[in-house]
Amino acid sequence: MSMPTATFARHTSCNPVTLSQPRIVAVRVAAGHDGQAELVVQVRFENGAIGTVTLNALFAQKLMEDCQVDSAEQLIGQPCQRLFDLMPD
Amino acid sequence: MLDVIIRNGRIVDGSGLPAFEGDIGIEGGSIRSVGGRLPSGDAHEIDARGQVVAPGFIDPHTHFDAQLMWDGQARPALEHGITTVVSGNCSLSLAPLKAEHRSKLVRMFQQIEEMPDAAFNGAFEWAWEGFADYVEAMRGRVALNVAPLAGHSPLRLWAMGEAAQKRAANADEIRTMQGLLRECLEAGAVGLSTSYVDVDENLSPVPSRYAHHNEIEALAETLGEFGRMLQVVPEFYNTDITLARVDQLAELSLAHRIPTTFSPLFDSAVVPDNSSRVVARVAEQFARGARVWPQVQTRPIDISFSLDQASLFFVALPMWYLILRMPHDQKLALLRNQGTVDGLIKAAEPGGDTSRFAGLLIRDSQDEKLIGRRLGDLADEHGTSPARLMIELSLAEDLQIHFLAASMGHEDPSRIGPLLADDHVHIGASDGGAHIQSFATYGDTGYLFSEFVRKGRHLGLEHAVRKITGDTAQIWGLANRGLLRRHHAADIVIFDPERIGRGEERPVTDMPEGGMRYVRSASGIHSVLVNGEVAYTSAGGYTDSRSGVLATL
Repeated sequence: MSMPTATFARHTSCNPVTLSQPRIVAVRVAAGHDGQAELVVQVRFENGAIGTVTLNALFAQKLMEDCQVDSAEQLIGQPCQRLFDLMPD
Repeated sequence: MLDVIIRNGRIVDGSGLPAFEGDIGIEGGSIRSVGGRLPSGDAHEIDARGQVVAPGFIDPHTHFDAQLMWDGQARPALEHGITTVVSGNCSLSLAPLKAEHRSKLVRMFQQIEEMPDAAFNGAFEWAWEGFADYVEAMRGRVALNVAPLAGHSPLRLWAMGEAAQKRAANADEIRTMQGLLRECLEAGAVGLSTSYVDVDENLSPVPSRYAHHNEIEALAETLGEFGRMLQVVPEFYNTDITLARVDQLAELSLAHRIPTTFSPLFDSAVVPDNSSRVVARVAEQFARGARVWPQVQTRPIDISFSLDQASLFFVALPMWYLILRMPHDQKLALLRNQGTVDGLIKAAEPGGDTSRFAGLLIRDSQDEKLIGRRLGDLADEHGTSPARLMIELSLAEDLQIHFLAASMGHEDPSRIGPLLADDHVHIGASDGGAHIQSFATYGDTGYLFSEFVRKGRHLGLEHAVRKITGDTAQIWGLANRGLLRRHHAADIVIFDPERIGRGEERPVTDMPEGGMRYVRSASGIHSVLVNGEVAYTSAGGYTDSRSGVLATL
């Protein structure tokens, strides 16, 4: 089944972000273990390392609100601190 | 004198050794002989010609805690060949628990495992507080064996009251929890479960998440007195944190000589190196002598949703996502507005490309004829587009019609197969009895054989049987189970290796008070015996047997 929502949206070189701080570099929708859609957020750290964080609907919505964006793709380029603030201690 | 003889079966004994032909003799709930030909007598005989005779399957990650109190057969798990379940996972168990904390714990079960209120309240008499009384309440009630974990969250509630969800425990409280856990283990608990991720109905962390490491260390020390299991839900949303938990569990395992397990571990094209990195770290820790078992489920994960909720399925479509987050009535008004709908269609099907929604299946509808139908096919029949039809069907059912995007996670058999076959991977994480109104958590064992033995050939028959019987019993310390051996418990499943599988997911209304849940029937299962008694046959269905016992005895 072709599912366009399941393709990684990636930051493009036309609007490069500086890596003075970790940034979100890709987002993608995937299935969570409870059958709900989740948002997989890929981040790039200052040293170039790539990591992923999976957010449920609640946290994904909160992140989008905090970043004041309407769609997941607009999260790309955002600083990661907002994402880390959502993570449990 | 033998009670039961299983004749002419192809014996796969759970050890991984090659199958062989022969009879099995059973007496007093135990296996008396394996292989060879037994003389006829007064024993009940089961003809297993052409069938595999294997140890009963053991499901190490379930939430049947409440269901077992009103359905001792844990339907439909038993008919899939499951003869032993581990309950009490993810920090949640029905004991030890003071009466004053019951409603709080039930709400956690409802939030985390999506179990309806009717499964707890009024469905059974909740008379126990301590673990020993809980175990006693199951006696004579269950048709399969139970290996119950004690949940860390109720332990904390008992020891700390409301402070369990506010702060770390002090030394006295930790000692109280250790004493409680010791009582649980003496009463037959198979270990302790804890969670680092779950939240309650108020989205507050569950009690176990307030524990500092010295508390976990102390409880692991108590587990070490019995050599029992620590089960953990790690931060599986992040690979790096999961790796840190693997290392932490390894230290606990080594220091206290306990087995540990964590669940779930998923594979996904979205995070393609997650499972490989975690299993590699697990292998390193095993090489050090630690026991850290990642649990991997067999079934792929689907996404289900309705337009009643704002699913992230729509997060790439800002207009859809915005409208779906609105209050119900406002949403209905907009979905009935032609201009709005035209805009939604244009966004979802740009240039007439209908591929985004065409492959969706209708999962649940008031109109039974629609269930299982592909949205694209229905749209063609109605001369409309999938997106427009989705809106029309949703409006016709007050947004309660559910759609399904199949195999959206843990979905690639070519990756899952080798993972399941890995010696460091524990097949489990079915979540049996949980999430029942979202999807069916039954039939993962059948799916192991149909998808990864017959179709993908990632595991041989004997290997697959070993992974869900002998290995599981050894990992969890279930003595005298998981193998077809003389003096072992006669937990046995007889199945057709060419047919064993899982049926289609379907809704049923067999919950207390007529509540709905999704189930899957079994295929290819001939008979299931628990402690020597026939509990299920494909010909006769479920029997009245209630021969299940505490599996840790």
